[in-house]
Amino acid sequence: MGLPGLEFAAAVFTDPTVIGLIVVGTLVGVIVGALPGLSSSMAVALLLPFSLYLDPIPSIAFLAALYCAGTFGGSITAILINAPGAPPAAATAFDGYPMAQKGEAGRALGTATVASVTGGMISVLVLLFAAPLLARVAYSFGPPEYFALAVLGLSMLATISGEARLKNLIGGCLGLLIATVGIDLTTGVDRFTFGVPELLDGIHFIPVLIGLFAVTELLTQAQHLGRKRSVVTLAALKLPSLADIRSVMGTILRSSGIGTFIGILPAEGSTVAAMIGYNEAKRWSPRPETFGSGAIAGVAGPEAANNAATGGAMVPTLALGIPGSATAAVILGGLQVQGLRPGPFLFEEQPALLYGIFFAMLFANALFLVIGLIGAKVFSRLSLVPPALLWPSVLVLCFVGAYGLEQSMVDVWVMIAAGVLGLGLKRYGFAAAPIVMGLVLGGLVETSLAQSMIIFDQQWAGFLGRPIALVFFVLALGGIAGAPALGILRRMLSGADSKNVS
Amino acid sequence: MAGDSGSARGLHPDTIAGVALLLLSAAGFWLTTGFPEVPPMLSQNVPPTFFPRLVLGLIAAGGIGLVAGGLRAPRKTMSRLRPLVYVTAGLVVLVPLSIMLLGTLATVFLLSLGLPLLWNERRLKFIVPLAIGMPAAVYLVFTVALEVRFPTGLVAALFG
Amino acid sequence: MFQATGSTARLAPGVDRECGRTPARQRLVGAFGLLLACAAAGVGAVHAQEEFPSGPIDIVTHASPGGGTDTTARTILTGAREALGTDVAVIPRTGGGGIVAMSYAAGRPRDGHTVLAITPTHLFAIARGQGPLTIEDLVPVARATDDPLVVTVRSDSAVGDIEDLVALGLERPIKWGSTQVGSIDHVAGAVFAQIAGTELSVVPFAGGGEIVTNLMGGSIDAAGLNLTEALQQIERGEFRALAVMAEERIEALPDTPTTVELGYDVTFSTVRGYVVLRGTAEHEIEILESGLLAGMNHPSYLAYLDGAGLSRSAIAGREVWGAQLEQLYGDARQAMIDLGIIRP
Repeated sequence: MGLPGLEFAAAVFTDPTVIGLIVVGTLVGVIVGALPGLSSSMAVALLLPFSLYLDPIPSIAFLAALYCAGTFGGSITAILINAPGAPPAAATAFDGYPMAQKGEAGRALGTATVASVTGGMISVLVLLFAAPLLARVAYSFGPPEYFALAVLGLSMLATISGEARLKNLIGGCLGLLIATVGIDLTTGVDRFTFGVPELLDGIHFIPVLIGLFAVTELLTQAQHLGRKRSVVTLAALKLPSLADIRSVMGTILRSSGIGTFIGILPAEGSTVAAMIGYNEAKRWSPRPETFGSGAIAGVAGPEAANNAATGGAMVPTLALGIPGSATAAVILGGLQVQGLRPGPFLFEEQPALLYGIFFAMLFANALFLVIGLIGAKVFSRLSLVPPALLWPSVLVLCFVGAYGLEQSMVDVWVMIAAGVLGLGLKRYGFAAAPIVMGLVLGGLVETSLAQSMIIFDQQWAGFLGRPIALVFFVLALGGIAGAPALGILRRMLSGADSKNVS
Repeated sequence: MAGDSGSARGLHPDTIAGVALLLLSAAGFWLTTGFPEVPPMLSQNVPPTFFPRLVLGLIAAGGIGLVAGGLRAPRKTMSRLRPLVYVTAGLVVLVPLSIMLLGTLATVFLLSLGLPLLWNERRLKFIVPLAIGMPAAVYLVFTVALEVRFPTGLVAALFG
Repeated sequence: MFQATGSTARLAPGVDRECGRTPARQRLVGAFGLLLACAAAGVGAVHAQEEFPSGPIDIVTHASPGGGTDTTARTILTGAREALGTDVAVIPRTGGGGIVAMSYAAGRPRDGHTVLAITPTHLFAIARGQGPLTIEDLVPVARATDDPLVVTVRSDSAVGDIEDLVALGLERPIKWGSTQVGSIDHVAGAVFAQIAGTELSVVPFAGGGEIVTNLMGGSIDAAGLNLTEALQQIERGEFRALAVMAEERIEALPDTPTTVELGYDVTFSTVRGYVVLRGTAEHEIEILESGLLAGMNHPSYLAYLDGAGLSRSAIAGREVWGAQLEQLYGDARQAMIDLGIIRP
């Protein structure tokens, strides 16, 4: 079975301009993605005007490459300095940074690269074969289904074993609470804004993320400064072994599927995909208790999912003209400005352009396999820099990133507040991951619940008539009830000598 | 700040955290009573207070759970925060004020110079290039290439 | 040096002047390593005297990316950039029926570098007394589109025409998809329901794209979609247009009756125009007007209008737009009074 549209591939791979632009787009994307506060959607929007001077194929290929690479780039800073360069990389920091601290930065970066590339490629192949068909899936997702999906995401909070469970649930609720700040979509009422106009559209995700991860870590470093560091040697530069990759291949494939699917849904993008990818990696792991302290599958899961979501997001964008993510929306604008109308017709009228985009995305993915693996060796040297020099630089990056997002001082204060509170929460045993999960899913949970209740005339029973939603609810319930059950089973199987499973 | 209550001796950290959460939900609930009224035509039968109160209720329930667990648990003391943590946190809070007063680049310079010194780094051959390199990098990457407009501060405005 | 107060010269223009004509190229050049040259040039140009525009111009919109208002603004950028000789960017400040966007614009210096996209949704918010602005604060610059609302259902729906919809609404509340609370399609649905005497239950969504998917998916009964948002699906036979909320039939849908000819005096159209806030200097408004009009008469914008089924006659300068703005505000106030939201 050959690839469809292979005859158009030549147009991409023989044109040096196109190749050059994809290379540049990929490099710029990785850098922009890695810098906190600069996201791929911003970069694409910034470079859109430049791309108008190009023909449609090179211009869209350039933007698509930038989009793919930008999502990948965020994982570099997430792993090395606990400051996710972009929201989709937040989940990568959960286990990536602990790995770097253990002196496995290269292993984490290499795994992230392989997972990203695999996820990205799989989703582009899906796009290539089934875009018009899959795009219809978007239509069967109404508010009740989104609500059920969000509940499935949140259900993970309850499945974390041991005494931390209550604290994880509370952390998730704190995230949900932060997400309610701003104007309520269903009533137009502003909540918890204290008269600050910048808070009307909610507390921004990036400053909270930078604060909770990087600033909290800075303060923690101050606490541990001078204490003898665990010896971080040149072994930190070592890439993952083939056995490592083989061990996470199942996770990567599962997350690629999840990511592609969530990417296709117009209302959700890479960030939610990464969260659910992480959750599922943990749920399916034989050793879920290692998650949060540097599990390699905890890096592979979200990274495969968030990059798969980029290809997925292009499905409704190109096939329906409904953007699958914020970045895809800007690319959609680029197509329209080029005089093209996305929709099912695009596949018949503009196959050269369409397959040009596909192959550009494939090429970009292949390219950052190279960039990522070489880069992993180079970047992971950062973890050898002494803390007293590294963390001041990180702090500068935090301020610049938090401010640069909206050019607003309010975001800077939000970041500081999140950082200081984050230290307090950490000391009292609350992990950052549940808070971030609640924050990411909060808006979705509340809005889709309110919309569902209006659709169902305030009758909860309405959910019973939505089979897809029911499947998600059952999965969520299975997750909550299943994990303890599995734990008991495992304990019984492993015999009496493993006393401390939690 | 919740991080400094090691002084409340005798109480389990969970008890302290639980009480803090209860206070938070009480304050949050009080705030929800001040939400503006929704005109009847715009009202969708799901009041804006519904979801925040639900979440606050859950947080309060969790807080009670923590207090209860903490009271029953054996005594546990927390490690004290070193003074350096407070000084560093104070420095972080000062940064935005400095940005507004002295401007972004000057602040970045001072921060890249001051924080390593504060953290007991004395090798000037590293610190000086860092203090010069950081503002330059921020200026080139963010201001020139990405056109982020940083505040210049009151001092620059006086001379500008 | 950078922007601190309204009158301080900004850095970017100096860089533009020294490093190439178009800002887009300059930006790419910057990204490719000629950073130092640009920086040196930029420093030298800091004290260059003020002229307008002296920096990038921001167009503040209230819509999420991909919607009609966003696409309109982004499509105008191409020509506007060339005409104004500076960078023009779209700044989306979504939420709250335009209140967030208006609050943001109100907080920016009134130096002509912040342009606010205005739709009837903003006027409803102003009429309700929400947000920091009053109608007197809006100074018209140019008008871009006139995008009428079309009452739309799914083509396999049992609702065949507007009478069926009214009949449905007498039986149970019509589930009407709408963008944000207090937006034009929300008010349009409410006014229609009031005239027809039906029940309406409004399901708010974040943007037009979500309404389209939910109408396709069957979660809602009907919606007042903008022509630009619905035309593709109507042409493809997936949606049925019941009525155009206008007085006269439109070119793109010659067979669809209007609400007025069906006996419902409800006319709503998303008129999208641009304003600056009061206090902006006259010569700056003049330059902006000609720059935006150049953007609208650029082939890429005209192609967008034609492709979306919109009339080119919507492009107008500040006189026409100003008169219409006043009239639209009067209509918006009246609708709010009719619905009992504000007192006359």
